[in-house]
Amino acid sequence: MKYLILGLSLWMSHLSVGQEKWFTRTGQISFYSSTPVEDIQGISNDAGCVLDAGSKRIQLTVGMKSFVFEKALMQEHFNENYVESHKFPNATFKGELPEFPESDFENQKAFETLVKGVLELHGVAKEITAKAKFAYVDNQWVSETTFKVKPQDFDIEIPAVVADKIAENIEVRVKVELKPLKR
Amino acid sequence: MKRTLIGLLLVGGLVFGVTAYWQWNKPHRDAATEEAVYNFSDEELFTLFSSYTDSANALLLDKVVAVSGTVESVEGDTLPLWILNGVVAEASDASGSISEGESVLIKGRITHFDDLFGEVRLDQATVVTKNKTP
Repeated sequence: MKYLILGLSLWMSHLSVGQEKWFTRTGQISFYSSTPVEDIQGISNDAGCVLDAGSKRIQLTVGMKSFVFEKALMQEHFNENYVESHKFPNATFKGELPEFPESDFENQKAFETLVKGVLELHGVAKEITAKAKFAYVDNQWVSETTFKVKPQDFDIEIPAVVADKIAENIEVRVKVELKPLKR
Repeated sequence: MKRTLIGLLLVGGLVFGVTAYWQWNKPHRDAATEEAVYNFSDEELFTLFSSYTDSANALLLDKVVAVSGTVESVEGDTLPLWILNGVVAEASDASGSISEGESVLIKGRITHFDDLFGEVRLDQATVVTKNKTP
């Protein structure tokens, strides 16, 4: 009986660890457009992210108004002319991490895995796949990924007059430090 | 006539150049120096965005608002994040000190409604008043 209770407790604790969620409200998302004419960079440190180790799913959301640019004019053009943040205030990503461990996090080595999911930006949803690095550091999952998007894939029109200032492929970088979500 | 035309072109060119230079180098918005256009409690602001998201976005996105409530927790590494009931505000700098349990009136710019956590997000937030709860 004693061993049954011990076994059940261990199994229950494994289940609770397996269902553990991780989160941040301060994920960093940045994008870079590099052309011979001009380099443009926007950074947000306000991305929300939840990773569910049990279902191996990850979700991110970021407010388009939270992106900061070197020049106020660039920020204005980004919000008003390109991403139309008054109409589409958020960008979201919902994806899967099939290789993410369910438990025993502290003994995991850093690993790289494919993240596949749907990015919704400017009211357009598009499937994307990217490699993401994960490392368990000081009770947090630190993850980084880089991928490229084309503005026209998300119905973002670039006027011909500024076409040479904006790259065809925009590099997006995401970095999150995920803490355990206590419920 | 020719002189007048050249003069007008020079003045026009100068005005255009100065305007373009000012536009390119105009300073970033500083919500801390702006007056709040609306006052809400944290619950009121959360209810507006969670129940009437589209209308709240149209009316309040990018606006500086004042929000009253009790600080549930403080997070953040470089800039503090003040967590109220359904409202999360990123401080404009690291100097404003608010502690958990304090009742506060803050102001900041609304950036978005985070539907993942169900929270209205503000940035460039500053403390207007604060009082320790009994």
